Amino acid sequence: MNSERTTSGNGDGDAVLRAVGQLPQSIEPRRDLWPAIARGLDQPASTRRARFEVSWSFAAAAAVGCLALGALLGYTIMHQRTTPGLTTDPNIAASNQPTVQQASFGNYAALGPEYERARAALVIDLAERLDRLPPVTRLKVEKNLAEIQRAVTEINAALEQAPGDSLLQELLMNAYQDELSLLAHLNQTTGSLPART
Amino acid sequence: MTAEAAATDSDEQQVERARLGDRTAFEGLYRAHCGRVYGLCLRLTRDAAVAEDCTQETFISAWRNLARFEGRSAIGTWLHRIAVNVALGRARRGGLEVVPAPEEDDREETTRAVIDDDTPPIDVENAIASLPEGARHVLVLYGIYGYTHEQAADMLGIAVGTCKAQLHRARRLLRERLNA
Amino acid sequence: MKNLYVAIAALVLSPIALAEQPVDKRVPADPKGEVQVSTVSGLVSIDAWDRDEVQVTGTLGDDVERLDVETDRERRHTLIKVVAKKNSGRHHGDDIDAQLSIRVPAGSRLDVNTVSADVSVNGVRGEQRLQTVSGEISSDIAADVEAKSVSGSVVLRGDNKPAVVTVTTVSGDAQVLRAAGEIVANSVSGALNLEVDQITRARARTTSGDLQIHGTLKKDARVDAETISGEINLDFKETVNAEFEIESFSGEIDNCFGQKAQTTHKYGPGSELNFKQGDGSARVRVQSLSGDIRVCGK
Repeated sequence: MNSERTTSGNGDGDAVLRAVGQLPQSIEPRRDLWPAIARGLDQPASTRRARFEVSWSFAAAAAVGCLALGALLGYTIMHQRTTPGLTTDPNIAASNQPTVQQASFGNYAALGPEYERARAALVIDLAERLDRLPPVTRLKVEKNLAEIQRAVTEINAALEQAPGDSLLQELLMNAYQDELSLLAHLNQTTGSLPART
Repeated sequence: MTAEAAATDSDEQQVERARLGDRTAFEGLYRAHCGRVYGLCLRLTRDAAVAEDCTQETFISAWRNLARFEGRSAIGTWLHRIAVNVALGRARRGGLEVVPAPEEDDREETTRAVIDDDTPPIDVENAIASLPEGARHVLVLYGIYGYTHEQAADMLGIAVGTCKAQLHRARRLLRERLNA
Repeated sequence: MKNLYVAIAALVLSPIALAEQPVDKRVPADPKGEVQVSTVSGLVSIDAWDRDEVQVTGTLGDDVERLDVETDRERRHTLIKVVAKKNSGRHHGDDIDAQLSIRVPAGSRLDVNTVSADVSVNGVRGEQRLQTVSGEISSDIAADVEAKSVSGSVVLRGDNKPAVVTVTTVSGDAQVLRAAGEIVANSVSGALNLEVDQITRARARTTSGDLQIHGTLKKDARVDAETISGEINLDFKETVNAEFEIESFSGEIDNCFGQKAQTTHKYGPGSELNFKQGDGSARVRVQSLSGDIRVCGK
């Protein structure tokens, strides 16, 4: 088995990267996978192709203010009538989040299940994370989360007056993006704070 | 690099034969690259069983798409591209993982050692596995497999700037965790 | 800002209390290495000097176990970290206090992380990443700077040399003075006041905070400014060559170019103003839901 390392020059002058670079590139699986692969070669192509999709998890994990997110989505939000309380995502329904509205807007669904999952994942941890903040800061954060919620509500209300308005749709998408970025920012910031005793 | 060169030569021949439907040649390619593909899958998915699935799916997909392989990159890199797609696609279908930050309340107050090159590999592997997804993916591609930022960003479908930021984050987190 | 000066004065003038531990550490450091600082509360004051060393002086509060100052073999990374006592942090970390005065080689890169400690940086020429939860951030812009805070305010001062500046706050106000080149600024309710010369790219967004951008546009510049309810004020100091696309749903659009906004819907709210000024080589896009927009220039 060829385990020669591709020389890349990566990691020069950095002890962490050097340590990482010394890890073996090649790892033997526990068993010989060829028989299963050979069987797979015989079968017709699966309809389930490994498509490459935008990953909201990367977006959430990336630095706040990643405005390129909007461009990545590549589709606009179609106006939907907002129906509060309707969400089938068990994670969102089950979480008890006083400070962040449940994803009651149908529009979340229009952003795709990926977005909902990314948001749900961040929201689940939110209450505990906010708890780690000093009370004054926590209040400010909650207020600001509410600001974004209010903005979303306002935009949706405006969309009822002017459905299909492209400015409103763009503002709405940006507001969702802002909320996700904010949740990710909070996630990152509070991640290294000690849990409250 | 001679071993690599020799393997590449026979890689090219094997690819050509496999393209024509020669399964034995494809098996040769599998034997030559299985370890590197599995190594990547394992570090991306952090689960041996999932990584095995990922490896199988990668090679099956490679077989089906050999006609598309233009030889502009090495076959190993092409296989890695497929593996990244498979691994990420699997993660998304299974729901996003949220990796919690390690709890800090039981910090050990031991004397901190300076990071040195003698850190045993098992600690480094575990530390990498504990990184959040985005940072881990970039670190594995860049730090273990030697891809450039441009290549890693392209494989992961992220911007180059994001890739660099993730690497910065990964290095910082690793430094902290290896010192703990 | 006033609090910051008071805090620095206190550090300099006050006698060291018996309960506090003094700090005085020095390690060799690469002139262009990275200096990483991690503290909870108090003050982090970083100044550049021309020695190939990092020096940390100051005092540590009651709940601080010790201050670690470590460096790797090549001296390319220096880590300065406050280590809290076990069972501390009960009172939100206010007692995990460290008043630190740090001197670093001028070419250093900085990576500073605090919870409530204020961060003040002077004269450092490398890239900076400064993050706090509620601390105030104040720094120079020499190379690229990224400043992030939740509720702390941010003040960045450049000297009109091109760099990439990224500012993110939740409620903290951000002020960027004499920057040049590229800027990305985001806040929810904080006010953004950005002075950027020779803009290549400027993207600024708030939900309810007011947004001000003063500056000049380079050819092919792109400016994107958006708020939901905050006021937007763009003021370009020199002759403007740009295409403007300005839209607001219910806010007013005003401008100094003698242009008149049009309504976008026959029977509803919404106004827009699209026009070309000069040769139209740059692009300025401004959007708001209800915030008033004002665009001025020559």
